[in-house]
Amino acid sequence: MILNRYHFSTDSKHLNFEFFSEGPKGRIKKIIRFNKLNSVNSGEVYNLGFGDFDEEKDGIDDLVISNNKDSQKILATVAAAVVSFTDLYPEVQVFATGSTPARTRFYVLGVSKNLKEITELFELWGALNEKEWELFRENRPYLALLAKRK
Amino acid sequence: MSVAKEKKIKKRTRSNNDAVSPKVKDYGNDPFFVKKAKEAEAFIRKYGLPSSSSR
Repeated sequence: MILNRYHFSTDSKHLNFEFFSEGPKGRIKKIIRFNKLNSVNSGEVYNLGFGDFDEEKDGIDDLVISNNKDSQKILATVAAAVVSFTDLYPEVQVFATGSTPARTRFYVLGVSKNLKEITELFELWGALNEKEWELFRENRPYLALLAKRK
Repeated sequence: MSVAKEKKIKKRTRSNNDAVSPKVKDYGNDPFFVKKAKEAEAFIRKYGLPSSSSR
């Protein structure tokens, strides 16, 4: 997207992405991972996972609140990773939900703000509480999102 | 999508500073991402997927 974002590194299969958040709390390594959902029968679906890399535990922590004052830039970087991933795999569906309801709301808000650009590239759906999926509409209380390249 | 439109979109969405690197680790088996994938599968089992998404 044309938004201000971080540059990332990815592996040759574009399943893993790394970048660094930079702000008042320092330089924080962020990881994006697309995991294939094997038990889903409706075409190929990948889960979009995202979190901070914790050097001490040598693993991912998505519940940490890094508060590095760059949440929009991070969101734009995640969006760019989805574009990069689906450039290579245009037929797959990407499933995404936040680690907490608040984070899911934040993602929905971010998508809503950039909906015109996103829907140039993607078909996008949102899952509503105890109801079915619907085509994404701005600022709805979605539990999860699903995207597929047009 | 037309080739011209595809090229225009790729030009706009890609950055020359992004890199494919052998140093990027495979996080596919990281417990956190494994857990998130299982949760996603459970969600989809419960809610299904949009009927038009797999076309």
